[in-house]
Amino acid sequence: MKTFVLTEDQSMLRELAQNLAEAEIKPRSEHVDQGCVVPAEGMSVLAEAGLLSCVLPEDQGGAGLDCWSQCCVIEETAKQCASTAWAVSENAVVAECVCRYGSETSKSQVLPSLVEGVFAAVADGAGLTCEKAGDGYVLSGRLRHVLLAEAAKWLVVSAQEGEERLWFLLENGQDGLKVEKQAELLGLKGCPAGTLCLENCRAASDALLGGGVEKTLRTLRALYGAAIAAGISQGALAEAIPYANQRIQFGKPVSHFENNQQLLSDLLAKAEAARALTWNAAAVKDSGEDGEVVAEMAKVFAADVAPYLTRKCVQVMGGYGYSREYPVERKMRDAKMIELLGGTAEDLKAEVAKALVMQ
Amino acid sequence: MDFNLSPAHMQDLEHYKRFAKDEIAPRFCQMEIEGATPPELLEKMAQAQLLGIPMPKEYGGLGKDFISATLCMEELSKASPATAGIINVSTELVADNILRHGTEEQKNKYLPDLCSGKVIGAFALTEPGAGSDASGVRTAAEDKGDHWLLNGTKCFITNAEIAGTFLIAAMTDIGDGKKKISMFIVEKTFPGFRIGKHENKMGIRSSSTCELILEDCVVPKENLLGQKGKGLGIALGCLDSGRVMIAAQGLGIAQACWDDTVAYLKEHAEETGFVINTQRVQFRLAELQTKIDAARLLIYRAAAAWSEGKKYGKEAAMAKYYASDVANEAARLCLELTGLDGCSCGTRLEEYYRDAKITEIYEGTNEIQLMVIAGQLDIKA
Repeated sequence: MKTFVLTEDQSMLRELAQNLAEAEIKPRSEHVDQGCVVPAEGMSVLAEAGLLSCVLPEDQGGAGLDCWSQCCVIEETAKQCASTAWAVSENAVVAECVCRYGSETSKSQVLPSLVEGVFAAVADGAGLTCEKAGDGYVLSGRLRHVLLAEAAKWLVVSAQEGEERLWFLLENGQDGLKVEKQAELLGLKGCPAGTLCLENCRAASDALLGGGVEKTLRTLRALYGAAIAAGISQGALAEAIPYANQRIQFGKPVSHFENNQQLLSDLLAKAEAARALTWNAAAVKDSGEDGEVVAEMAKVFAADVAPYLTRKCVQVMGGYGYSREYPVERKMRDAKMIELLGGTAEDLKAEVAKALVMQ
Repeated sequence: MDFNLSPAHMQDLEHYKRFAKDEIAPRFCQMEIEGATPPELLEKMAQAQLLGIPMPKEYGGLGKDFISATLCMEELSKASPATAGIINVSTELVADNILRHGTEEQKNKYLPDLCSGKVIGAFALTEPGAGSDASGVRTAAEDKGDHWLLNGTKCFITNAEIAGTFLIAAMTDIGDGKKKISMFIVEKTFPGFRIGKHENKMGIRSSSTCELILEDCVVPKENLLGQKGKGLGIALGCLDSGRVMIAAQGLGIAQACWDDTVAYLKEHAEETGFVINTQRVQFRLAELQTKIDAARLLIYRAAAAWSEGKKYGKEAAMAKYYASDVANEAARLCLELTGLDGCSCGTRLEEYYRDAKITEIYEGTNEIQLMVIAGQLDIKA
């Protein structure tokens, strides 16, 4: 079914991402989840195809593609494996932030490695402080629940200097930066969380990311978070619908029961709406606007749909849906995580309200 | 109309609360990680006489009413939904069925051990091709004169690995080439009976869920439960009581989610910028507690009707449908309010999110509950 009219280039890119995700990422997704294994192979596959941080300009090693293309890669990946999609998203967020707000030193160090598939992580929670020291800064503090903290080569962190919030690019393993292991989380198990422990961690002045990075970072994380949520929803339907067609109860496929038809149609509409909002937000950003509010609205909607929709897909599949033999229970766990990451619904709604409600 | 628990019920509730708090809650997360219920906990449950609460004293039960049984289910589910589920299956689906349909010999032989918890019961209706549609059972029981021979595979059987007594639904010949379901009491030691694949589930992982494989399983003639060909009625009949119990399981999960979340938000008030005092959090917790209370009232209504010997199939289905829905809503909302702390494995909230989902599925999916409810309302032209 054609639902969105794409240009030929867009269609080709989307197909490429879709094929790679089905052939290379799906078969690894169960292992990634159940073994809490970082999706290094999936990242390599996407890197080889030039799909990682493809938004970077060509002179920075990227493919010079638009934000919509990056969304599509993330969405197609998320249909098969949300953990891999999260890693792809963080990679792209860090790449764009460094590309736009980083020093020349940072760009030349970081961007090529991101395109080649190293992991990156954003640590945007509160808990770190910094102070000026010489021509750089010294960072301290602890920050829990940083996904991919240990696997990431590059970390973008925010730290408070009095009233001001500054953003830095740090390298894992640098002096004063340690990562403590943390308990497994409900979902996105392929992106194990860690606690970032900074103790007199020095950041040179060229590790500072320039003003405006926070807005870009927030917008991108909302946008890519929406793409992951939209992908999870479509992936869950891609399991539940064929199942409903082959599962016979009371003498007919369960897809022939009116309740399931109504339910699945409703879920399809919601998944389609989530994707449409996401693509719209990407298109707004590609048009040159900052696109923050539409991205936030897309994330609010898509990340609200995904936990609901995956829960219903488990329901359609009954006991089989509840079993780890099928991937929908994983999608239900991953969906819940996406609802919380990259801006919670409450925080995003508060931002939308600031922009559109309160005068 | 009295909405208060009687003093006797209050006393029972205290007993269940204490047991849940002392014996189950401390082990909950570890049991789920290990994927098994420790035998010493099963023994303690037996000692506390939790496996025969509503069963008559003459067979070793406590002779309590069903409201007391639902109170137990709610309290134990707060501490571990999987553990509470073990009791439900053994008591409501196995012991209660033998009580209602068994011969005096069967009752004397099986009930004292089930009620005392010496033996755990398991109930096997579901098959790969027979989920919501119980009539799709393919397991066959052949009359061999002095015994029955059972062949087939059952799946998703709760308690499989810890049970000694199984109720198994199988197709029997009822003459004229017609086949209908009959129920059999099968002991795990019967020849030809074995446990198959262990299910790797999203949640309630400490409760054992497995396939049962019957290969020329020899079952004594006298182990037919109830009349030949009446097994479907037996199976569906006991699901009414089981449904009230699953509703109470959902209720326990929902209330525990609410309790844990409020405790978390109070404890972390400063760190979270006193988010608990904000209107959005206040409203959502108020709304959730309202729904939890509504679920509780539906459950008490069904349990009261059941205790009074009235028909309560519709009330049971309504309670199960609603309470399991609220459990899932609660689990989702509470993870939102507690964030990644709540999502950390080894915390109760993370477990509840995965456990809550099963309450919408087993003992009849919620779609089946709606069929039951609709069937008993006068809503056809």
